Amino acid sequence: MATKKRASEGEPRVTIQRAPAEILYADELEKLRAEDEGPKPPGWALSLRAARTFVLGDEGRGIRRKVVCPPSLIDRCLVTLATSRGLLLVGEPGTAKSLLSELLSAAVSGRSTLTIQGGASVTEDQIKYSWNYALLVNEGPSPRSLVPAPLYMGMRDGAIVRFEEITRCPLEVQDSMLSVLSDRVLAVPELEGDDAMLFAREGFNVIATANTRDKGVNEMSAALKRRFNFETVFPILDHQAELRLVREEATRLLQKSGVPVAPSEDVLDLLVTTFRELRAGATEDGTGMERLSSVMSTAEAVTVAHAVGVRGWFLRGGAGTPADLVEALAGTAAKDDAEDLRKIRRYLEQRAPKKKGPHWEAYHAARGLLPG
Amino acid sequence: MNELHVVGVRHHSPACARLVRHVIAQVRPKTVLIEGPVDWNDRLEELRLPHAMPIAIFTYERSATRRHASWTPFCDYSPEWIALRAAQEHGCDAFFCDLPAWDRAFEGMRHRFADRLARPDAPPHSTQFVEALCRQLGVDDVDTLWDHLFEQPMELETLRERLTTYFDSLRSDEPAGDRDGPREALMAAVTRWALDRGDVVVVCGGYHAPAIVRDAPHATPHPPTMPDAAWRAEVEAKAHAEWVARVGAEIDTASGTETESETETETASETETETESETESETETETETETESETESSDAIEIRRGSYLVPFTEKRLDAFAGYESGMPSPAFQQAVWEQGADEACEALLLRAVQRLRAKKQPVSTADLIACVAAARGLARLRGHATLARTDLLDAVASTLLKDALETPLPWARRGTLLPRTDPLLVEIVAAFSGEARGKLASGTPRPPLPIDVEGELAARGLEPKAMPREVTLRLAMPTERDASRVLHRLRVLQIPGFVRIAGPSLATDAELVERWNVVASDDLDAALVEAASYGGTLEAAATARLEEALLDAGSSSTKLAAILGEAAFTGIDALTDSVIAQVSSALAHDGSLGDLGAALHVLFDLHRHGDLVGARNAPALARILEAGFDRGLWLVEGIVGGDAPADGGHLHALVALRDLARRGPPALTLPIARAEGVMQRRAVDVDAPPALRGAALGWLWSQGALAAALGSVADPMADPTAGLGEGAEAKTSVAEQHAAHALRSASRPTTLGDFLAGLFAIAREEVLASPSLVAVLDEVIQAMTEAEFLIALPSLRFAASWFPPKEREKLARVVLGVRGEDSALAHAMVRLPARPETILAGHALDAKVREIALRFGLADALDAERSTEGGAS
Repeated sequence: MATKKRASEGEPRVTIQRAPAEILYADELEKLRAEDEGPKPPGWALSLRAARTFVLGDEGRGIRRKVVCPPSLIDRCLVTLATSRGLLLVGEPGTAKSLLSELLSAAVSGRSTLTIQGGASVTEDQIKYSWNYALLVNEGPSPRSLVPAPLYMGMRDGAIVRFEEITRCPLEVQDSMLSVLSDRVLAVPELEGDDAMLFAREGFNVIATANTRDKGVNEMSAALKRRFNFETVFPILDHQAELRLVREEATRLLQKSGVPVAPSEDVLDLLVTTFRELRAGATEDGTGMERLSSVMSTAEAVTVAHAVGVRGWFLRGGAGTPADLVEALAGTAAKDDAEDLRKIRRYLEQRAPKKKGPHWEAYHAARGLLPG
Repeated sequence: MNELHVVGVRHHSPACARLVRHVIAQVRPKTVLIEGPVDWNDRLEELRLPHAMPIAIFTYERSATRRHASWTPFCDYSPEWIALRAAQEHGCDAFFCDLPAWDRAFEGMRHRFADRLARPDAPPHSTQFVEALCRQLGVDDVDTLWDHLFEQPMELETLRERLTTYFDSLRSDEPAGDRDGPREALMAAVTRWALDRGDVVVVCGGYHAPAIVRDAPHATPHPPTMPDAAWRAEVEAKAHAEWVARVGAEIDTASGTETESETETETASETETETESETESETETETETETESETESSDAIEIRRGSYLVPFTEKRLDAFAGYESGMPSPAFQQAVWEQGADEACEALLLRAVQRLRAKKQPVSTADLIACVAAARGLARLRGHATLARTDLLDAVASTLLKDALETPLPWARRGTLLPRTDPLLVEIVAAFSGEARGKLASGTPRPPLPIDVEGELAARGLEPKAMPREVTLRLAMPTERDASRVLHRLRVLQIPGFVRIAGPSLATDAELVERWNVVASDDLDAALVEAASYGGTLEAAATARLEEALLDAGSSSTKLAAILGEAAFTGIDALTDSVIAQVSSALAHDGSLGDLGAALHVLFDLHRHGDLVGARNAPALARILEAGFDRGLWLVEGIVGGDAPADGGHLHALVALRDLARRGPPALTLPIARAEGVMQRRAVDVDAPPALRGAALGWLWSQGALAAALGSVADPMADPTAGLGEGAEAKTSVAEQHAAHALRSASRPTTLGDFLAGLFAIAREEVLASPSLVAVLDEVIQAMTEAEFLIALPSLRFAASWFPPKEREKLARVVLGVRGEDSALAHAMVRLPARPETILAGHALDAKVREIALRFGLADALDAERSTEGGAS
């Protein structure tokens, strides 16, 4: 699907390293809100159509396109969020699932910071709520001593809660989401009266992301699966679109690293073709082959293009060559995984010589530079 | 002047069909002109019979230089079909006004009403226009775009304006070119002719509509009859000149288009020549085998063409099926046409769910409610008044799928389903595609196939009779082989009454007698009429049926080889290039080296020994073999597992590849150097299974490339002559030294047998001819302890199984020779008095006894006993 596509001119005025989407695109959100005439689902900051425009862009209205993906994916995501089911974005790493979840939250709720980062060590109180122990000891459980976690806040305020990498959490922690997603209510048994039940306000929903490489989706309980609509996010389908994105992003990164030359078109062609073919497990003319086990995302391609450019400039004072690419593939793409190195070597040995053009010849000739 | 109403349509669009009906009812013109084959104007009555849709006009042409078959399909909601019916209803004269399907303007097209934008030669301007429009409106592809813009309910006048704007922009001022030019010229000329009679409504593809509006008023009138060749040539020259004049100027600035089209013409003419030569060779074989009267007729250059009505299926109409079709999801369109959009969605959803539940895929009521809600939500978001096709499909995907997908949603792109498409999606696409089959009304003239079949059977005395009879055919006899071909073709078409009860399973088998059971069946005629949709003659229909089976077989090389093996019985020459190309590319997807190897064996056998069935050196097979060889190399490189046991399938595949490399005829272009590169890498790869290493080494050795590949021997100890007595040859070649070195390094008990299995599979002749290597082998095995030998034994036996019994004896003789013993003992050595399993069990028992003896300190005594025993024997 897509990688980050943050244009440099839109850099926020605040001096934070990475601004969330609602700050980065505050002006666009404001404009859309002001001009929004469509019906809004209860609790939403924008109508579905305005939210769609925010993500997909509209040149005529000065709204930038923020991800490269089929428009129907965004349609399905938004409609899911407006219904009683959560949204689960699944896909290979580096397909911009998190970016998409951030943009959707920013569009729907105006905030994308109610985020739970899944992981092996996540516990229920990091998701729901915990206690301020000084107050708890002093005055017992009370709304004052309760420390809300993202899920609590999202339900209380009627906002989208993002659950990143949900499948990396232990199963029992995942299942603690069940009642929240089906009954839309969170029990706080420590408190009494009205405070013992937190009913979700309109506008609350969950966007979870999961990685197909973690194999966690299969282990997710059927009960939880049922409460999510699955959307698979794919790598960018169109060769040209991906090439364009890699070119733009690599050029930007190279400028940041003080490299004045742009990556050569030939090398970019080699890089994007190699990535696409190894990722798809088939050459573009349809010959099947094994897929790499490491991630061949567009984001990785940008990293490799960056590495190649840096090598070319600082080692020789020019643009990167096919030989640089071969060396970069080993470290950056295969992560020195022996199995993947073998696959890349096989690709260079058997597939590269069948392609036409001097850059492919140079690429094939440089195959000896692969380590091992 | 009379009024001209041109209604540009998209073929198979229900909205366009409604518009056509409306316009004809409103205008009530004198003449309705429809894009369709002009040579059918005197047969329109056939179309007006009460057929069950979908049906198609099937057109074929066969001559010495050309084979063409195409369909002009109609369904209930085809605008062309509706135009025909509405014209009749309102008393207008209806005529087809386009060139016939066998005209060269349709060269290579199998489907007259295929969507222009889905074709590889889609006009560049239109493609760009549609892509830009998709981007702007935020839809995925041209089909969704069409649904979004035109299939929603709206005033028919609004629809008409929209369509005109859309098609005008789609066409812009793009000139027609050599193909569309003559077609549009005829449509314009006939329109001009009709204008003299009264008001005219023209129903044609939207891409042509602007051209007809523009050209018809100035055209020279032409009646709706077949134009003569001179007229045809003149308009083609004019269209060509116009193309060059308009596009030629652009080529200089933006080169590319012209070069492409040039290459296309080149390839086209190449293919033609190829077909020509194929046909020639076929004629030759026929001349050899067939009766005299037929030889005479093949001398005359005749063109056989014809067209007739055949039943069609919804599946073949579907764009997802990939038969160059018009609209996706015909069952959905049919339901929209019959019941309206909302009811159609409900009905189709129900059908999809029933299919899924039948396949044991759970779909809960809650899921269905969520699905309907999501569909309505999507429709609202997209501004649809009623549910569009993709609103429903997207909702289904969104709510029913509970797993990550491996391929994008099928309706997000054009073309056939990709491999690894989620089974749930496959079912849904199938439900939307539908299973309806058309049926011709009684009284429809019979297609030529039944007549052709009758003729073919009568000529060979094979007519089915009420009484079943058995026919025995000896394939070695040309006339009987010819009869067998006819019967096999009937079998391929699943015509009842012709059953083979015995015969070779492959055309290359040693068995040469077939027995058939022939009986008249009540369903014979119906089956033949249905099969007629595949072709006008038995040969053409059988070939088309096999081609379809090949395309449906996917990427399983076992299936493909089986179908090609079947094709060998019916005549493999007739397969078209495009199908061969698809089969080759399917083979390039096979992930199993074992399956691929089995397929290659079968195909290579056919290619070498298929004389009897005319498959020897068939160019079609050659191309498939090349693709298989390439794929094989790729798979060989990917096998890993440093201590994986030998895989018989892999070794057989390597043998097949090696046979191809060594014995493949010069017509095959195989990457021999790359193959050696692969073997060189695998031979020394510690991660390769031992059997593969052995086989790779054997490959290099048997190809005489071992010395060159591995250089001079690095390890002087590897010289097998070192330490050997007079039994060894004084001089060993570098290759043998390499082999010996590799053998020593693979001599662990767990790997030795596997390594040898690989080596023997590929290079057993070389091994037999090298006493020095056998000496090393003997030495390695002698050096094993009893326990080690027992470990190595099963795989050693597997390795030895690669030698046929005679050669096993020869090997024994070599071993005895190396040891300086009497080689006459060899015969007895390979014929053991007991079964190997018994001996093995005895050894195991011995080992156990020895273990117990050792425990009690009796080993010495045991050894002493042994040595006397050994001495005695």
